[in-house]
Amino acid sequence: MGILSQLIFLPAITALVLLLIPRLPEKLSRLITFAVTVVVFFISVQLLGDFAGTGAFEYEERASWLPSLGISYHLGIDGISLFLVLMTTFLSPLAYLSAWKSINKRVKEFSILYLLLQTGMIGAFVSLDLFLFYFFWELMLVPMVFIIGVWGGARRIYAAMKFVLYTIVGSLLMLVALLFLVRYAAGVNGYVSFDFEDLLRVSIPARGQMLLFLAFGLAFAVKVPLFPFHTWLPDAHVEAPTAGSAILAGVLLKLGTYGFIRFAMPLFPDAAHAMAPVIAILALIGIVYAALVAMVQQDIKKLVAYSSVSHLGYVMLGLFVFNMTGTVGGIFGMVSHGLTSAGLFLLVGVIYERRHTREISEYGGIARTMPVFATMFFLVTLGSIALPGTSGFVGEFLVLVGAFRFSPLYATIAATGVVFGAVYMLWMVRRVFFGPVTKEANRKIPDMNLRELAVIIPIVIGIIVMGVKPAPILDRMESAVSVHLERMGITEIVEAGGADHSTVEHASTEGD
Amino acid sequence: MKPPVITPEIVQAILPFVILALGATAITMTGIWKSKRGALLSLIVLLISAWKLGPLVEGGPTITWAGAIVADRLSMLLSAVLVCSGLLTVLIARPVLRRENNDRPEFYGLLLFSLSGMLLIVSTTNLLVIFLALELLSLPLYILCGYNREDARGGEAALKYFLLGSFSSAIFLYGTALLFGATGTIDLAAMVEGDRLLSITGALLVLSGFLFKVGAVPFHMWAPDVYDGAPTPVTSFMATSVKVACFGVLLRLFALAGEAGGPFALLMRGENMGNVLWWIAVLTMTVGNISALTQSNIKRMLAFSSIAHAGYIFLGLIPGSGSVDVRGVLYYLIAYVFMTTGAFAVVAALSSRDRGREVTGVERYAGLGFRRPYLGLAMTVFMISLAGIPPTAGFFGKYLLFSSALDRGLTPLVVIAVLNSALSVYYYLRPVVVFYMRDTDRPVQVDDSITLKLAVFIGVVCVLWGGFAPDLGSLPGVPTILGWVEASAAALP
Repeated sequence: MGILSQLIFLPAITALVLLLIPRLPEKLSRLITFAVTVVVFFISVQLLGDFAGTGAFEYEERASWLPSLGISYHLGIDGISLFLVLMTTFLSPLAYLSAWKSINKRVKEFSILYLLLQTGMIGAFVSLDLFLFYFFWELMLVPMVFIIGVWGGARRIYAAMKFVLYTIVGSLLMLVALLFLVRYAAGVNGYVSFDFEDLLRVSIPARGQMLLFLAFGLAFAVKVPLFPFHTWLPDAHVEAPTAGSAILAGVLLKLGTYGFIRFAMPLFPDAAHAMAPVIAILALIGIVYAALVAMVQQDIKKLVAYSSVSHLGYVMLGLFVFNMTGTVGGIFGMVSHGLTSAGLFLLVGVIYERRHTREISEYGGIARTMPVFATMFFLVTLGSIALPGTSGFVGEFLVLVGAFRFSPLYATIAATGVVFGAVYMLWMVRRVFFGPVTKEANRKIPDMNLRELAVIIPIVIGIIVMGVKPAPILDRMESAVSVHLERMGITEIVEAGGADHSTVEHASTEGD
Repeated sequence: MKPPVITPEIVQAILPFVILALGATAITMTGIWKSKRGALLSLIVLLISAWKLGPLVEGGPTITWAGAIVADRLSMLLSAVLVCSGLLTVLIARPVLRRENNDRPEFYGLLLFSLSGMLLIVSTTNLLVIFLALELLSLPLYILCGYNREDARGGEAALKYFLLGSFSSAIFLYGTALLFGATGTIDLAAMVEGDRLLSITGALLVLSGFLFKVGAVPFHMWAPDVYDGAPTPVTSFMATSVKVACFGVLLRLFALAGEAGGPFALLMRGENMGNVLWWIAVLTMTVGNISALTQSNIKRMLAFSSIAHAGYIFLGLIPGSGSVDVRGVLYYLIAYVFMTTGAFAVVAALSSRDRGREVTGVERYAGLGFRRPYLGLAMTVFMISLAGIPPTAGFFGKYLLFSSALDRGLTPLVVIAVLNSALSVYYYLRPVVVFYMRDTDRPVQVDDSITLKLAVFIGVVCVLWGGFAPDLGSLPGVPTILGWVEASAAALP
């Protein structure tokens, strides 16, 4: 069994085993699940070892699944998906660890769903057969709905239903489009196949491309979420338990952007080009609008949720400016946002567990009572507002450079988002952490314990390492991105990208 | 005309049907000495019938006998599905009847009579035999609906079903007469286009009879009340077996018409009145789904959902630019039987009677998912399958239907169907939400009998099998659902 299959099946089999053991002690199911997510992480690290970064798919695995329907079990990764997989396996044990105390009822069921969710996420990132991708894409949905609906806050059922309905409308239309695409491709190729590479060879007439792109795009845009399809997100994030929010923001949203870059754009390049202005403008609206909305939030979690909409706007902008810098920046931004947003949600969870409120006005001055927590929060915030030297900076800077080449106006508007981002995050930090301690309850909040530090420190390290030394990651992405751009009909010399990240590194060192 | 010879092959082909009919008679007789072994006896009869059916499903030549019996792989597969559904129904019925102190052999006798009618109806092309079989399958059902005498709603259901059912039988018979007048034959396979007006009217009337039985809009009004009022095992049987049998006939009818022309081909081509089937499909699924949205009684919800599913199945019957999608319809029917019967088994395990009235409100299930993890999981699997979310048989069923409908150029219809299934997710998830996301201090009694558990277990296994591996052709010795379905589809022209 190849590495990718191990990553997919290990959590799924563990989930099945947990399911079949009745009356498992809570502690044991926690330990098993945590151990498995850690093992999965270490298995995934092996991917880096032999990764050549040629731009072609590596670690490919093929097996027949439903041959008569043209469906195969085809896995593989390239520079685009590699880091998303790593991010998933990296965040999974951390988010699970964060739920060690807060998920204290129905632990076994939570663990089963969590593991299934992990299987779905990894499976979706590594599938190269579109049917398989759809399979995993839907497989993620069910556990997430349960995690929100069972372990969530007061309005959890509403949030869970909203999440599922938004997602399912998009994905069912994607299914129809997929069937249509496969049917068309079968006519051209002479055989039915859901394989990504088989479908890629087919060029589709412009009108058909547009409809198919819109159907795929809707499914992905809901997941991203692109303005105006984002309204499920604040509800889902706020109501989900901490670990759920972290995975939702950290990984699930990336599946939307990943869907665009992996499938929707290369399969329908003409439509992607034609729709680029619309998507870029929606992304810009999302960046600015979500930042403004985040500014007025009273609830920390909601604020972080809106910040996700804003940050994902950058990613989308980066993907749709069709140049090396922007695209690499977008992908880097996905990984970086995975770390920062998951980090922020996990940190919000830390104080929520202590005070059971997320209202900003309930806090104030807790930097004095919780110095370690404040430090960690501040570091992750810096990553989120894209301070040079953090991962957020690299992604957003590259996106802005790429956008500037595409259209200076877009870049200017997007840049205001960076400013707003700094405003709402720092304002929130000021109100929560600084100033006098006004609430009695805040005087003796215990600081972070070892477990919580163990959760957050790897994330903080990740944010800083990615910010200071982005080159190894960017290098591995580049050839895959140039293959992607070629598929989009754009040939760009890799040197341009090379020049760019020297700029980034220069800026980063200055920032330090 | 020489009387047709009865060959051993014919005997073999109708043996499953004969066993059921004889068994039904014998079991009904045991009612004289108030036997309590009706369930056991009917299981034995069903298993013998299945045993005789087994080799025929796997292969065997097409046998026709005087146009009255057509035994091909299609009829055998449908018969096998029907017998399975009968087995599951008996498994569900026994504990429910025991619980209500109502376990009489007549129940099982009637069930088997109805089932034998279904076996007959799927293996003939003769309109009169179809009519005979239709009555044979319907009459026991009318009685079974009102089986529980203390339940006034059961009586209402029986009466309603009987009145409307007889009405639709009459319409069907009238259509048959018109078709005979127009074409000079009652054998569907031999029908050629006769007088245009008579043909179309006759075909429409015959079709209406079946539309009534499968609960297609606008002939669906009876379904919610009857499904709700009948005892849960009977509801499950009606919602699944009757649909399988009637869609089986429709499949044969349209496939034959697509090949040989005749009155039904006029209807399918829809030159005169637009595409009737197209509108029936759209209305059936949309009305079914929208009505199901607001139901808080799970039996009514499943009743409306079964209407909606009939609508999806119609997608496969519309020829579009190709021919009828036998494979998709068959697969969907199989998936539908297991997921719906499974869901009803869970409902049966959780329902109780309050002064004769069966109580089946969804709200009663609060918190059950965690108290009874396997039951909760099973219900989740069935609901996800009904909603058409992978990895379940329901998803593959929709997938096959939709993809072949796209091949036949029915894109707008597929888009409507897809939006409908998105809508359906809302109400299918409601029981799941209540199971897991609400809690109550008044836990409901769960029926723990082994046969119910077995029925639920079979349902879950089949639904997941159909979802993960409908096509396990590469493993030796593992039967493939798709393989069966395709072989049966090949039996039709």
